[in-house]
Amino acid sequence: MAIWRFDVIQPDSLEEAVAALARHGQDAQLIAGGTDLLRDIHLGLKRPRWVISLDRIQALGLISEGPDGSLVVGSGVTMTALGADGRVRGRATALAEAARGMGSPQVRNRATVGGNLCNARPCADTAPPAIACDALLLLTGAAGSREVSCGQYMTGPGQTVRKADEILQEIRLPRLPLHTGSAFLSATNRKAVEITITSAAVRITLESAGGPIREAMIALGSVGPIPLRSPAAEAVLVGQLPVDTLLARAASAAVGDSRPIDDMRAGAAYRKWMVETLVARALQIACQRAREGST
Amino acid sequence: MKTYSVLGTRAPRLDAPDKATGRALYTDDLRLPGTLHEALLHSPHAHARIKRIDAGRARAMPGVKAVLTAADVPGIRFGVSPARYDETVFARDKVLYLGDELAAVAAVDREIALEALERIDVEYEPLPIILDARQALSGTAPQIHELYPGNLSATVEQEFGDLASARSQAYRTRTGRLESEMQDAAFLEPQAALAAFDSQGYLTLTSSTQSVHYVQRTVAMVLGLPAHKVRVIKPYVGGGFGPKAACSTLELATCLLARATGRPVKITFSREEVFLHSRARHKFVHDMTLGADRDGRLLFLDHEAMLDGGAYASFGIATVYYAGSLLGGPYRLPAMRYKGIRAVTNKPACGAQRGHGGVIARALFERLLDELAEELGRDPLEIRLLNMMETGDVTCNDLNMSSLGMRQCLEAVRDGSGWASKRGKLPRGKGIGMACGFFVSGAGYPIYRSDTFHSTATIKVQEDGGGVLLHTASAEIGQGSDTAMAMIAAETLGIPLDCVRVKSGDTDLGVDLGAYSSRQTLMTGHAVREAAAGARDQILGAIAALLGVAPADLVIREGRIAAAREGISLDISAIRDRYTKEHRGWTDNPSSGPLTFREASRLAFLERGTIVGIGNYRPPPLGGKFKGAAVGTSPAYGCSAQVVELTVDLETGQVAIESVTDAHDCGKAINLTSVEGQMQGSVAMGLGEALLEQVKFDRMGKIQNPNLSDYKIPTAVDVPPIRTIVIESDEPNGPYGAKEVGEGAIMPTIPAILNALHDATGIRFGKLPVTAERIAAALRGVALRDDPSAESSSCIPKTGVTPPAPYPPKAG
Amino acid sequence: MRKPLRLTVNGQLHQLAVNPYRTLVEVLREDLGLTGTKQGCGEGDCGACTVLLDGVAVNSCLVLAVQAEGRQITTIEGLARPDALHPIQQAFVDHGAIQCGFCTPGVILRVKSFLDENPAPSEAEVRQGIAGNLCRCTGYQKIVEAVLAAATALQPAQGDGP
Repeated sequence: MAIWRFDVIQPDSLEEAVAALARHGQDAQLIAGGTDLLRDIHLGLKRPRWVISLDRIQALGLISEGPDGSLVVGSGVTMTALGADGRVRGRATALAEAARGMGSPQVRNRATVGGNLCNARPCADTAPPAIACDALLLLTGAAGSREVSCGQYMTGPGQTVRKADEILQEIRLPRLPLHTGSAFLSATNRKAVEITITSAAVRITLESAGGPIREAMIALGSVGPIPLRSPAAEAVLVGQLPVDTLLARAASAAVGDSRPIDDMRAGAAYRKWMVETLVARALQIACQRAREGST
Repeated sequence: MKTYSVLGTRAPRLDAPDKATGRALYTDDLRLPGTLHEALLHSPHAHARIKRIDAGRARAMPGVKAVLTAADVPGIRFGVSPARYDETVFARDKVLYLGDELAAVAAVDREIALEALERIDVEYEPLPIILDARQALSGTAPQIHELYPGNLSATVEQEFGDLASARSQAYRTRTGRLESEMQDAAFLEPQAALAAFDSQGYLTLTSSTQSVHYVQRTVAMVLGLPAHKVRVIKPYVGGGFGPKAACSTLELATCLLARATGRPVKITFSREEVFLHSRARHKFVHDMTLGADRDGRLLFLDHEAMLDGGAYASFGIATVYYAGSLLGGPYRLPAMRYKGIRAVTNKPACGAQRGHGGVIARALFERLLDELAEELGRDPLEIRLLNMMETGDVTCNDLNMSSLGMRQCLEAVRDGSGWASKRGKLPRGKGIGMACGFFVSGAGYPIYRSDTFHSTATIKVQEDGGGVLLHTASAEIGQGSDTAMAMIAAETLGIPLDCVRVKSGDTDLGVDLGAYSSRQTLMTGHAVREAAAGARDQILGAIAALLGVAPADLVIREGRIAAAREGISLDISAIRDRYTKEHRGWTDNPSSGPLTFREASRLAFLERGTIVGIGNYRPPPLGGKFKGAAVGTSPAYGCSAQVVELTVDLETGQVAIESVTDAHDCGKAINLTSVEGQMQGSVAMGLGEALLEQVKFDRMGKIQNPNLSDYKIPTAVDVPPIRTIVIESDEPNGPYGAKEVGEGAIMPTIPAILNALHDATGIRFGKLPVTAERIAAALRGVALRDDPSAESSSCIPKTGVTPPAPYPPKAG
Repeated sequence: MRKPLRLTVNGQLHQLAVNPYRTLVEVLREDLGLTGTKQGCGEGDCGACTVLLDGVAVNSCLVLAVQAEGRQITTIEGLARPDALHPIQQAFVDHGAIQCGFCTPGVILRVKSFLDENPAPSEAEVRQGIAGNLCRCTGYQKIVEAVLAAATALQPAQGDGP
C-alpha cells in the first residue's frame, strides 16, 4: 500500500484546534497519542489530508478538582497518568484499573483517555468504567461547549455524537456518594498487551456500609457495537443486600443484555460466558470496596 | 568429565556489547551510496489466473528505475530440495496464494516504489479458492500447482518392525488425534536484502538469512551466474527459527533489480509481508495409536499425518518425513508404521520452523503415552523411565543414539520439580504434566544431493603473533554460534578467548550449510576444532624444531607453551631473545615465564610463513536403506525432558503457567549461558504455540491477523521462571562431546502443557492452540466450531493420485 | 511539503526538513542515521522501536516526528558512557540477556525508564514493566535476571558506616 501523505497542524490552544477542525472538516483527523490514528492510517483505514495534533495544548493533559467536587480529567491525559493518579483511583477505581491494564507500557505512555473514547472501538477499555462512574464529557466546538453523559456518547463502532468541529476537552468524574465501590475486569488470552475480548465495569453504591444496594451501574464492553448497560442485572441488585447469591443472579441476568458477535478474536458464546463470570467477580470486588469506603 | 579452560564457562557473548549499544548492524541498517528502494507486488487473490500484467505506467513514473515481472526474468524454478523446485521468482500464469509475488519495483525512494506498485496493471481471473487440505486432496478440487496433480505435494509410507504381531500382543492401546493450526516464527527482525554488483560483475547480496550457502547456490542458479561471482553475506540477523533458511523471492528479486539497474537495491519486509511469506509451521493433523504390554512397555506406534503445506513445497518434503521419523525415539519402540501426506492449498507455503515436523507429532505421542500410563495405573514419569532408550540403542528406523542422556534428564526434572509430591495431589484447576523429546544435531544430508562438506573452517594465525582469525560461513542468528566457535577454537589452540577474532556468515569464507536442523555446534564445531588443531600443530611443529624437541613434547595451555609431560625441559632463552630483538621499542615484551603464544605464533611465522589451519566436516553415511531413511539421520541427537505446572481459571479458561523445569542433554555445554538461553527461548516458543498462536484466514484466503497484536507470542508476563538443568552425556560424534540444544528443547513443551491441562481439568485437548476459549468451552461441554471433526476415521482422505518424484537423497 | 524540524536527540540538536507524515523511528533511522532503534512491526505491537521521550518510554513508530520537537529524545546510542557501558547494558551482557539482539535496544531503553520509576522492583513487576517488549529468543528469563541485577547495581551504595 502506498504511503499516505498528510499535513500536520500543531495548534497551541484549544481555540486554534477548533478553528482548524472547522476549517478542514471531513479532511481532518485529530491526533493526540497517535496509537490508534497512526495504525489506522498505516492500514489504510483512515485517509486524512490534515492531521491536527493536540500534543502542544498543555491544559488537556491536566487533572484538576472541579468546582462541584468533581474531578476534571483533560482529554489529553495519558493512560499511564490516569491509572497512576491517586485521585482517579480514589474516585473512579474502575477507570484507573482499565487505564492501567490496556495495551503496553509504551502505548499507555502515549494513548489518551480522550482518544480512547473518541475512537469508540467496541473494545475500548475506558468507556465502560467511565459510563459506570457517571462520567460527563465536555465537548468544545466553534459554537461553544456542551456536556454529554458518557453513556450517550458512543453511537456505534467508531461513531460518537461529537460533531466534526468539536473536540472532547474534558472528562468530568462526579463525586460519588459514600459507600460506593467500582471495579473493572477484562477477559483476554495473553496476560498482557491484549485487546479485550469482554469487559465488565460495575459501580455499586450502598445505603450504608452494611446496608443494601442503593445504586448499581453495570457497563459491558466488547459485547456489542457500543458499551452496553445491563438494566436486567441492575434491576436484580437495587434495593437488595449484596450477598453472593444475589450477585451471581445479577451476573446471570447481565448475559441477556449482551449482544456479542463471533469475530476473529473469540466467539459470541465465550463472550456471554465471560459476561457472567466478569460481572460476578467485579460485583464482588465493587461491593467489598463499597463496604470498605473506597470508590 | 574433563575440565576445560574455556569450554563450559559462561563467557559473555562476543557480540553482546555491540547489540547492547545499538552498534550491531542488521541488513536494514546498512547503507550504500545510490541505493534504490524495492517494493514487491503481492497478489490480492488466493487463487487466480494472471490474464494480463502491464508495468508500463509504473515504469513511466519519475523516480522508478526498473520494474520486473515474470516476462522479464527467465522462468528458472527454485525451491528447497531439487526434487521439488516449484517456485519462480515471480508468478507466471497463476497466483497461488494471497501474497504470491508478481513483480518488483526499484525506485529512488520507498514512497515512489510503493506508489509504483499501484500502477502495475494486472488483470486477474479469480479461480476457486481451496483453503482446506482435505478438500484439496478430495479429487474434486481444481489442481492448484501445475506440478502437483491432485494437490498432492508429497506422500510417505514407512513401516518398521512387525506391526501386525505387535498389535496382537498389545495389552492396551490408546488412539487419538491432535490437530494444530498454521503458526509463524515471529522473529523480531523482518526479512531484508541488499544487493549490488561491482564493476567486474561480482554480485554481493547481504541478507537476513540463516544460510548464506543455500542462498548463494540458488541466486547463482536463478540468475545464471557462476557461483564464484556470487557472494552472500549475513550481517547480524534478528532471529530466524527456520523460515529464513531458504532462498526467497525477496532475495532473488533484489539481485535481479540490482542487475537491471546497475545500482544497489534494498528491501525490508513489513511485518504483514513476513506473515504473507510464512515458510513457517505447517498445519498438522495427526492420528496415532500407541500400544503397550501389561507392564507398560511400548510395542507399536501406528501413525498417520496430514500436513497442509500451502502453495509451494519449501522445506515441506523434509517436514512430512520428520513428522514420522522423529517418533522412533527416545523410547524403545519395536514397531512403527507411518503414513504422511502433504497437501497443496491456496495459502502461504509452510516450511521448517523450530523442531520442524517433529513438534506437533511429539505432542500427540506424549499425550497418548500419558493416556496409556493412566489406563495402566502407572506414573507417567515412571512409564517413560521404563521405556527409555539408552546410549548405544538404535531406533526401529535406524537412528543411532550415540549418546542419550534421557534418563538423567527425566530424573533431573523429577527431582527438580517436586514431581512426586505434586503428582496427583494438586486441586482441580491446578495441574502438573511432563513430556520428553529429542531432535537431530544437524541433518545427516544436505538439502541438495551432494557429497559436499557440511562445514568448512579456516584459522589463520596472525603473522605478527598473538591472535588468530577464525573464518566460517556459519550463521550467527542469535543462538550464540560465533561465540561457541571462538570458544572451541580457543580451547583447541590453548589460548584465551580474546585472542580469537571471528568472521562468519560469508560465502567467501567457506561452505557452511547454515543455522538449521540444529547443526552448527556439532558440525561447524568439528570443522573449527580441526582447523584449530591444524594451526596449533603447525605452530608446535615450528617451535619444537627450534627447541630441538618433538612436537608431541609440547602443548599450548592458557596462552603459554608448556611441556606435555614431566621431565621435558625447554630452554626458550634463545628464541625469546630472537623475538625481543624483533620488537625493539615495545614496552611489554614477554621477559619471564614460559614462552607465550604471542611469541610462539610469531616465531612459527618466521619459520614457516603464514600458518593456516583448515577444517572440513561432513557426517559419515548414516541411516538405513529404506526410502526416506535420510530424513531423521544425524550424527547425534539432543534430548530433553520438561515438567510444567500450571493453573487454569476454571471459569475464564485462562491458563497461567506457574513454572517450568527443563532438563536438556546437549552432550557438552560449550557456553553454559547460551545453552540455557536456547532452552528458555524454546520453552517460551512452545508455550506460545500451545496456548496462543494461530495464523487465521478468512474465506478468501486472506490472513486476518498479520500483525503482532492479534498473532500472539508470549510476553514477559506469560512466561514463568524457567528452571534449566543442563545434562552432559558426552557425545562421541560431537566436538568435545557437544550436540544440539536449539530445537530439541522445544519438543516436550506442548505435550507437557497438554498433560498438565489434563491434570488440572480432566480434559484431553485435541486441538492447538488451547486458548482460553477452547478450555472454557470444553469445561462447559460445548464444542467449538473448529474442533477436530470426529466423523472422519482417518486424517488422510483417500486419493488415487500417484505421488510425485522421489525424495529425499538415498541414505547410506 | 517538507517542514523544518528541530529534534534534540541524545542531547544534541539537529535541524532537519522532513515530511510531516514521517514517524519518529523513520526520521531517527533514515535522516539521522541512528540505526540502533529498530523497527520490528511499525504498528506499536513489539516495542523494538522504543525510545525515551522526556524520559518516558514510547513506541517511536507511533509518534510523528513533528510531535517530538521540543522534547528530549533518548535512543540506545545515547545511553552508554564514553568509557563504559551503562549499568543496564552491562547487566544485559553479563547475564546472557542478549541473543539475536533485535529487541535489545528497545528493552534496554524501556528498562531505563522503568527503573527510573521503580528502582527496586519485584520480579513480577519487572515482567509487567517489559510486557510491551516482545522477545522471541530468550524466553525473558535472563532479561528479568539482568534487570534485577541492574536495579541493584544502580542503587546508591549502602555504606556500613553512619
